[in-house]
Amino acid sequence: MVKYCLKRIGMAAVTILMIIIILFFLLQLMPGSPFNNERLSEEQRLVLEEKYGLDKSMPEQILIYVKNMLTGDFGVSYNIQQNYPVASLLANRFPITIRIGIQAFVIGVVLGLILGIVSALHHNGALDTGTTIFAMVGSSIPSHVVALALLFFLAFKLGWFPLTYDSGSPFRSSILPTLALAISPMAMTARFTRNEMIEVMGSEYILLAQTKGMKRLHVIIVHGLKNTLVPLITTMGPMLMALLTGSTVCEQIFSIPGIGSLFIKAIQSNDYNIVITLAFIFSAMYIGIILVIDILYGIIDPRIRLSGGKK
Amino acid sequence: MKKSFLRKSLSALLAAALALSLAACGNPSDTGTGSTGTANGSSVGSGDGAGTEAAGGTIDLKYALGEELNSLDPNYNYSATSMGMIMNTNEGLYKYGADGNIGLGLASDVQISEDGCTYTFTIRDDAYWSNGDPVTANDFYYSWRRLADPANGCTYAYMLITAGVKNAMEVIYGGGNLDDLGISAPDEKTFIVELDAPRSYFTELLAQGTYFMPVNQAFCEACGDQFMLDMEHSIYCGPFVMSEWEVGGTTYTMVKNENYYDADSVTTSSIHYTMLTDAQAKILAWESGELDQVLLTGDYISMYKEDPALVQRAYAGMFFISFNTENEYLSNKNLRLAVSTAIDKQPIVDSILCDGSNAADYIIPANFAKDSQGVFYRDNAGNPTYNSYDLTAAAEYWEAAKAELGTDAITLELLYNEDSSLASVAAYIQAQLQTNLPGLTVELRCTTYNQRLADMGNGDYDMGITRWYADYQDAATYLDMWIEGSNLNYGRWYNAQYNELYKQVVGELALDEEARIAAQAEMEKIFLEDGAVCPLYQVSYMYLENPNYTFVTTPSGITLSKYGQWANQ
Repeated sequence: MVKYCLKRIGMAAVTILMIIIILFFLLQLMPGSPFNNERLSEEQRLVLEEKYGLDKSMPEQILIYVKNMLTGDFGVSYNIQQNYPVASLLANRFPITIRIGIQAFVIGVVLGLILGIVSALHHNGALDTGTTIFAMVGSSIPSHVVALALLFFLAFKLGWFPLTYDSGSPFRSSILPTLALAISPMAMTARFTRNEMIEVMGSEYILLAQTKGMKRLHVIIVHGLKNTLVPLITTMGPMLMALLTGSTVCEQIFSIPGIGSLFIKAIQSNDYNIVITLAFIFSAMYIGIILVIDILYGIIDPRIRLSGGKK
Repeated sequence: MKKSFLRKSLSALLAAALALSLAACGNPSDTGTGSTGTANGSSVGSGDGAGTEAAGGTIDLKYALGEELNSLDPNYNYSATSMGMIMNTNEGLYKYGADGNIGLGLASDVQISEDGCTYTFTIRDDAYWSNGDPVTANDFYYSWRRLADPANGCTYAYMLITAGVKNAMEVIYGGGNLDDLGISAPDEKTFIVELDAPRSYFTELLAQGTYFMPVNQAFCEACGDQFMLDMEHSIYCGPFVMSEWEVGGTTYTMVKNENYYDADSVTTSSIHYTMLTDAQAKILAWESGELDQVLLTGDYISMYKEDPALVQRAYAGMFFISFNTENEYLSNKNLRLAVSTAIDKQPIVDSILCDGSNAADYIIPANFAKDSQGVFYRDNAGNPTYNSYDLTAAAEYWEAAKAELGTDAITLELLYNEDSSLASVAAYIQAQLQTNLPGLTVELRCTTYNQRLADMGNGDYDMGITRWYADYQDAATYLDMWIEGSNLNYGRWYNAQYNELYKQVVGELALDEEARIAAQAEMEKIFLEDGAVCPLYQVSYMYLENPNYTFVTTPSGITLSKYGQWANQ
């Protein structure tokens, strides 16, 4: 297991390096430069490119970037917040996005699981129909519509929550965006759990367990839910990633200083260091989450072998 | 109002949500990163602003920013949004008074030589930096050299050239020695600026140009790369100091600087900025009183049409089509004139923009650039218009162009950048041209703002919709763009007479106001009669403003937040 993890981490490092190299090349293809202000002359642009080392050859730039990165220096922002170290820019923004993302994930998955199980156990009943309709609507409505509705009713009409993000009370400010973002994963989880659960509950080993006289709750949780979880976990990785990378639209609506909107803006304004750093962090997170999920598989279902192993 | 607002809001909510998914991906570049516009009116925000009455009658202004604080470094910053903030935390040799007029700022006296080429400023004795250092002549000397130093690549370095500072051109672009820049600080309190020729707008440039504001050399050098990047490494000499500022955050608060020499005239206690880009969220914040000034866009303009808080402000900003004169077809003057006269611009402002923008048959904006008598440039020039919508003329030009080019079918591309209203404007122009000039095919090409600038800069386009907001109050801010060698001359247009007139305007005519304006009017005439560009409209914006307050603004549209005023009721 340890050997397997180390191998995976080694592979992850190589993957991330590849991603950085590919990104460097892709960024070169992006139109314009970070210094495409109309008021800058060609000479000034060259001076700026030299100042920030953008005149160097691609391998040199990559080498310098990776070397600095290992010491925690991710360069400075070229134009979004001129000369601000990217590391400190992100250090203040990341926790906010992560907090909202994790809150939305936990709420979405837990409530989704409960809804899915209840719905499966009342297969074709009124509860099932209600949950199915909710899941359908929930996964169809874009999160920004939910966000606007929440903002309008709960913050503007009722005044329960701040209209704009208040860094003085981060938890209170995070509730509405969390709810807005939780709807979609909740609906997806509910639908997925329901379908899996119905299939699992109709299988022969459940029937066997029931005929053996096991308690209903025991059958549902130990035999039913556990087997439902395996495919569900597969969907959770991308779901969590989507939440952790920040929702641009939700951030704009709630004026949250998160990283989703920063990422888009950095791409649009060729702020290379921010783009590369965020891409690096996102890739590392993604690889980490996939690793965790792979390990979780093994724990939930020992039949799933992580690696070739010895005979 | 509230009840009808609820109903309006609900119906707008769904429509807005749909538009939002598009708007969210739109380009942020037009907000602030370009330039300062020029307001024709008495009040307009650098962002969206607000005045809120706090307990005890103090004035606490609340603004919404369209983007992050770009930089508080006066020399390095290029964003209009941040300029408004720097204006509050720093000050120049001149400043705007509560009446909006220009007076001396950190200088207590100025002596101007007879030839108008030497300005000798005496720095105030009672002006101090927030760390207790006195403001000295060297702070200006250091700042201006820092701005000019080519190694720094400051975006607004060219303003030293515009201001006419001696040798600025050689220093910035010609590899000249920084010591040759026409400035000196012979003693602690004397700062001398030498110009190569007088500039009528020199004082105005110094009052509004945040890049000309002083930098405390010792402090700046001690901070190194960190200068003005956070609270710890910042220093102020203006009416306000930053009090809350989190790096990477999106809210900023500044409070009155009690050590400011003119603190008595500062009536505003604090200014709070929140970055708020979502149109719906901004409206909700306005409706709940968290903001008292909001820039309206799209459907909201008609929604608030009857609201007494609605204020329209015209800017010295022009949208126009740039023709690439190196294009095999567009090198033909008749074709450019055919295109220019075949577009009915009125429906663009009446039906597409609906924000009070005006259709324009001129390139130097109206209500802009007052002379010493207070008369606007256009009025002085006799309000000339060129290439107005005229289908008969268009048909004649078109026939002539086809004959000269020896073809009946021409295809041209129209380039524009992502923007919901520009997309409609471009589609409208396409329809107009294809209908009014049979045989002409217009292909639309939409791209990002960055890509458009790059393409137009490289000459990789046929026709492109672009815009320019005045940097300062003189027709030169427009006319300079098309002189030989200008990097803003996207059309690669060249006219010897135009270049000659430009030399006269900055040379022998510099002090003769009447002749100078006449020469500028002649330049505009040569430019537009040659169909170098096709002007589309002069920009105007609609704001909601808290009627309890009166905001004083600079001609460039930056709110002078220090003079928070109760409106006369």
